[in-house]
Amino acid sequence: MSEAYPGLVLLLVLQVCAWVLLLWRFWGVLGYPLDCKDEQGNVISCISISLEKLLDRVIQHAELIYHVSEESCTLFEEMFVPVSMRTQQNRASNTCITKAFPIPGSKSEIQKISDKWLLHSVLMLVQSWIEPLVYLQKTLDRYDDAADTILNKTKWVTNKLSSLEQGIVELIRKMLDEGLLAVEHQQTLTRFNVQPEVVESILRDYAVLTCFKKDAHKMEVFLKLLKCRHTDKMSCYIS
Amino acid sequence: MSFLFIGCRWFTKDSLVSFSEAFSSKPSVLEKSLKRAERMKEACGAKCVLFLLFVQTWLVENAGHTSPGKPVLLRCRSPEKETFACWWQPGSDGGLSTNYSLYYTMEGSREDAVHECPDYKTAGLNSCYFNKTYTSLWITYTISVVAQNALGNKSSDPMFVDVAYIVQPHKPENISAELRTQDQKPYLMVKWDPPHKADTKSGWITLQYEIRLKPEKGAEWESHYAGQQKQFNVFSLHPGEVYLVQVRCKPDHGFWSEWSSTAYIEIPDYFRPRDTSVWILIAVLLSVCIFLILAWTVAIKWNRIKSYLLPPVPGPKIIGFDTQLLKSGKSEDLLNALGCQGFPPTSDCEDLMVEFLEVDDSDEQKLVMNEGEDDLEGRVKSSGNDVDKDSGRGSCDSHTLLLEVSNSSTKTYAQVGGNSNNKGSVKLSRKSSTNGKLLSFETAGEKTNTWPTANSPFLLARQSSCYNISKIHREASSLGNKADMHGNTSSTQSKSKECRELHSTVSGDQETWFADEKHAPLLPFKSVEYVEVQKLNQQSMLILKPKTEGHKSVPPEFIGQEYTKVSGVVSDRVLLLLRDTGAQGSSNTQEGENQAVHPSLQCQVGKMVGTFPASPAPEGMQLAASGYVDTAALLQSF
Repeated sequence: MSEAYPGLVLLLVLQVCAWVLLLWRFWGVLGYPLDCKDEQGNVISCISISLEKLLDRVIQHAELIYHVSEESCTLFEEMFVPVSMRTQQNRASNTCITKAFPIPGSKSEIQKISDKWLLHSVLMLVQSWIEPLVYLQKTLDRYDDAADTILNKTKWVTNKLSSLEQGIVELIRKMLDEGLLAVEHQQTLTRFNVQPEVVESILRDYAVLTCFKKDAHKMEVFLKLLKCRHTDKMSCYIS
Repeated sequence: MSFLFIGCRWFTKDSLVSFSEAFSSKPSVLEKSLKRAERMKEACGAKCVLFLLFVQTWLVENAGHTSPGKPVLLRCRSPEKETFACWWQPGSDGGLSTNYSLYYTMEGSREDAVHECPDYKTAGLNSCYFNKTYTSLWITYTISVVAQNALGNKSSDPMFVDVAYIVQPHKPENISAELRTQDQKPYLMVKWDPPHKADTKSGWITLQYEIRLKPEKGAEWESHYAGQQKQFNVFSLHPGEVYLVQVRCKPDHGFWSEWSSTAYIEIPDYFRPRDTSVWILIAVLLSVCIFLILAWTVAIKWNRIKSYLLPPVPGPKIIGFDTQLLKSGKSEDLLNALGCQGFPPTSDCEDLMVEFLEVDDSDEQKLVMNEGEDDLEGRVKSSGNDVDKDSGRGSCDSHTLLLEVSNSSTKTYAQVGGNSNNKGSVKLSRKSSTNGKLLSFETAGEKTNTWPTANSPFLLARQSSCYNISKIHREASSLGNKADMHGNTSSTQSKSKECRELHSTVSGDQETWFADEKHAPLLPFKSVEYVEVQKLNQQSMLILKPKTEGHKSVPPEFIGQEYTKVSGVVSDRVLLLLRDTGAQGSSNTQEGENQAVHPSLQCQVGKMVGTFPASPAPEGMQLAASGYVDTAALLQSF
């Protein structure tokens, strides 16, 4: 047997080599650690979007949403709302559905507010407005073609709002290390199923637009405050 | 393969040998078993080899149809930051039908939450399209493509996608190029629209643009960065060419779009204002050059031009007149050249009378007096051949004839004395009306002259000249002084006597005459008195001596007559005069006497007549009854 031992070993080695050669092409299928490279071939870190970029984008979203909502509100006011009634809505801000949110006013209060609170507040705002905007789109259809621009803007805002929601969620996840699932929007349209009269419809739509405009401004402000805290924690305030 | 075979055989052989040793008891059986083992070993090796061969060849065959090659993700792009799509390049398909699938994971979700591409079609072949629902700006995507065939699958390298950074918009739309002018300079205004899918109105995407243009036949493009505006002005243009214009855009973070469709614009040829200024400059230079050439030409040819344009004014020139002679002062030559004789005439008789006395003895004119003509001639004529200094020959002036300048007054008297007839008588007409005296000169000789009465106011030219002479003389000096002078002049006593008498007589009446003359210088004399010039003394004074007229008295009928006719000219020296009234025959007797008359003594009455100056002499001219021609009147009428 000792005579055959080296022969056996040799045979085994050779076999292994043959299989290796045969299976060489399929080596990659088995997988190996991925290098994170971008398009240009540079090795980048495989972490996700940085927090700063995320914040910037969220803020950009909020700014744009506010800007467009302001435009649509102004358009609606010029087209449909008589002059005498314009100031009424501004005074009657309590009709907004989100009036329950306390807004920090003074500087001391602002410093007490945590990031968590800011983010959750913004998230709540965003989530609470998606439905009313959807409903608003439906009501605006009844305005003939005169409100097409407003309708388009509203649609646009709705889209962006949804996107913003995702951003906030992501932001919360990264900033607060909290995992949040996208909340399923409940259909809370029961409130708006009533078919009001025309005048009331106009006023109500106008109210919706103005309220949303205000809330959009709030979101923008909160997010900017958040950003300010991350960059410079000393001199942030709500202007 | 051979190694395997050898190894297999070796292995089997050894195993068989060892195996056979264990089982064999009989030596003869061992020998049989060994032989059987060897046969079996060989057979087993062969089978083994064959088996291995079979397996390996099967494996090799399957290597030709292998799992697909590794695909490569080319790029992922989002046109509007709301959706995106990815494209890959497939690898070798391994000879078998291979399908590709794209899987992605969303960062932040669970590691095993792999999603597959929702849309393989929209973006084309080998693409995956993510619509709005699947696009999130908040997370990065890890995308990979897996190629799969019957034999296996192959995954590509993953790609990490951040949607915000892969934005590549579509190309700009509605590009238009328009030619405009500004300050007569053309420029190109290019306008365009952003891609319709890019939401630039709300500010979702901010795009930057870039323009490029080139001439149609140019080689390189000329690029301009336009910023965020949607129009751009291009100034560097070449006229007369067709330009191609293109635009592309890029977001803040992203990729440049493709170049838009080309806009063609033709730049027409225009007359650039720069060219007009060049033409003006050329025109100015040309005019300056022409001006310089003209000036140079004029400067060279100035003399000729001057003579052409401004011809020299001819100076005064008299044919035959030589200015040089004039300048030399030789008046004689000058006048000779001119051919004028006797030029210039004396301007003033008075001057002549003052300064000089001259009698011309030219042969041209002769005066023939009826009576006493020889006396006249004698008296009158002097050596007129002598030429004055200051004039030519003796002028034709009568008074010059009468006036004797020379010193040959003695001859006069001699000649006069020689005349037998003594016809020559001088009559002095006294103009004075108050004095009705009749001056009668008594001559010593046979000549007797009877002076006419005062009522015969005729004046002989000669006599008037003589009178004038005498007047002058008297004015100048007293006659009494001259008494000694004329003493020696006359050879004939008669004459001298006459003159003396005359002078004496005259001197007696000097005062009267002077008075007459002075007071009534212009009154014609009523009586005719004759004086003869004796000589001219050194002081240029005329020595006069009265001339007695021996002839008969003047017939009264001659009084008042002023003219006489010339009957004829005798031998060119004598002028025959006719008496109009009365006796006429006495004029014929003058010929003979006149022959002997020295030519110099001839009196040119004509000259006298013609040249008697308008002096305050007696104006009227009367013809004496004695036959003497009173040319004073003629002269005066002249």
